[in-house]
Amino acid sequence: MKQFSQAEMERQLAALIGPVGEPVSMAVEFGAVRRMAVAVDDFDPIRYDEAAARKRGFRGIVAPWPLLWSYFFNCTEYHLDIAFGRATVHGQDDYEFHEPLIVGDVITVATAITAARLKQGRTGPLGQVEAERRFTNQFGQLCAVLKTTLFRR
Amino acid sequence: MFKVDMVEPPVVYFEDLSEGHEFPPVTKGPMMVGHQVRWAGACDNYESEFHHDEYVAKAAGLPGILLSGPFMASILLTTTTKWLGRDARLVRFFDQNRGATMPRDTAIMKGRVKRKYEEGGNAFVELELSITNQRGEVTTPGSALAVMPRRGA
Repeated sequence: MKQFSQAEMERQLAALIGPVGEPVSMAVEFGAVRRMAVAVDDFDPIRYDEAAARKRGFRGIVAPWPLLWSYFFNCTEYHLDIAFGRATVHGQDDYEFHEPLIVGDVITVATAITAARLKQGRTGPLGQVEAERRFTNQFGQLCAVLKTTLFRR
Repeated sequence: MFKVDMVEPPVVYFEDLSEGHEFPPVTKGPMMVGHQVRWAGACDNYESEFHHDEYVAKAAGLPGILLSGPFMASILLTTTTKWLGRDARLVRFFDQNRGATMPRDTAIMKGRVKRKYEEGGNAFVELELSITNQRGEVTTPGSALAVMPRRGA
């Protein structure tokens, strides 16, 4: 494996900071909502039944928040272009929730790398990269912000 | 089609919770590869082969298949929404992917009210969360912030 100096690793990380690709839009589909709700054992009727969701004051069937991960994998570039290290590890997630995702909505996801720094890990240099994804609906309302921290070692 | 038995969550009020209150722990599992595959389907993401193929996982130097960190965090998030009841609004959720969950591991979800307060006309509860495995190891520490309904409002 090629060895990099600390300055080279820092340069690679700094180059990541900024927007990643163009914003991407995808509709909230009932099948996707149902599959995610079943996967995470969410049996609240608002995930399956429009009448139940409306009775609770929602515009329609409400997606469980973990559906954000479907957008993460389908609408955003999540591979990092880092030459040093062997593996990228998912470290932590920080979610902010605003407007619910409703079946029939069109969600636009914008991704940016907001911070990237080199730290000293237990076994050597460790790249810490923070990515932010902002999810907005067709009304321009912010639905959620998902901040993930990845480690490159 | 998997038959879903829908369950309407109860209403939990701000007044029902006190600082230090511990929610009844919820045990999931044993977690199996099938859970992970269902998650992969819900995310429409099959790229991370080490999450469902033991040969690939071991070839990458892992002890075996690892269940996805965001999946484990998502079942903790879902459990949290059940604890807080149907009229609570989750505002923030945080999780750390500290330890691996492997097939046949048990995941015990725990939650505790760390703080409750009122601000800007809203009633907030701040929770400490965790997933512990059958060996007592905390694999996923986390936290959440929610706005709770007021009794009589």
